[in-house]
Amino acid sequence: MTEKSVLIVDDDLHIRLAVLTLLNDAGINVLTAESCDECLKSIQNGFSGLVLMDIMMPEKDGWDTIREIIKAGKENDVVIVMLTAKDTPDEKMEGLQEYVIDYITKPFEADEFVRRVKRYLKYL
Amino acid sequence: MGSSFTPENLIIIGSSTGGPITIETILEDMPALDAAIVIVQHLPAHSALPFREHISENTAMQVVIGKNNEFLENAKIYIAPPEYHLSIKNSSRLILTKGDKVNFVCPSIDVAMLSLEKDERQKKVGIILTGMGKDGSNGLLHMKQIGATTIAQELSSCAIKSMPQSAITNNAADLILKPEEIHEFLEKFSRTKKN
Repeated sequence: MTEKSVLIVDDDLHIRLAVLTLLNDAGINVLTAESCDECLKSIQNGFSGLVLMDIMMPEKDGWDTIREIIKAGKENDVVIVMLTAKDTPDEKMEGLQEYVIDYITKPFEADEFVRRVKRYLKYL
Repeated sequence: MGSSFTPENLIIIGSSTGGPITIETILEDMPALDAAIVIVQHLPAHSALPFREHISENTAMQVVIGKNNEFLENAKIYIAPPEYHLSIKNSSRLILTKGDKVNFVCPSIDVAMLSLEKDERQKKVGIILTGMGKDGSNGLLHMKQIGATTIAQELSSCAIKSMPQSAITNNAADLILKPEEIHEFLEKFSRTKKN
């Protein structure tokens, strides 16, 4: 996979579709995952790019998923941005701030969101 | 690497999550200031160069990834390299060290700011931007105590408020400013370099 891509990790189908459509319309290649396991599978299969990570997901949440990415030694393959409805991060972020380059709260302003995604795709 | 020289003005910017975009906003269209700017922002190793390049494209100042023992120069921006703590010796020289994380991060803002000493030859500004945790809170207070002007990012403009909030609670911030206001402040603080 050579083209820089975005991986949306969110258990909410509507959010995945909305963000996918927005980014596709901006010419950005997008993959989706609905869980920690699907996210890890994509990364293990060679995904390298920007991960837009939800926090509140059943079973393993966004912080657990980042820990799994680190445990798999794949943290240097991705740039991680939290994309969440939580306007303030919980204490589970402590110790993971080094791996999270930005924290965007839903709902967001579409143009600014796309601008940031394009910026972070250049951080790879 | 340059020779021994103490910049008349030194600006230290510390940030964490949400910091890169905020720093880009602060430094966008920045003229060549009569100051050395040091940025302490933890980044993935592969992101440091793209971050440097983007800032470099949008400011008149030279932008580099800091090197060990490098002397600070005016009109130049130094980015702390990933996975090294950065400190400043004699108000003029970068020292990079490998070490344990401090406040969960490396480089740590506290390490950089707490390394500074009062120096009548140099005016200093310390800035704490968006980020999780309390890194930079003690460092900014130290800078205030040695005579620096200290700034915390205005909270509603932060991706994550806790770092500037911690600095404000610690009575470490002289000013609370939005990124665009920090840009204006820095331009006024350091007179624009003549050449």
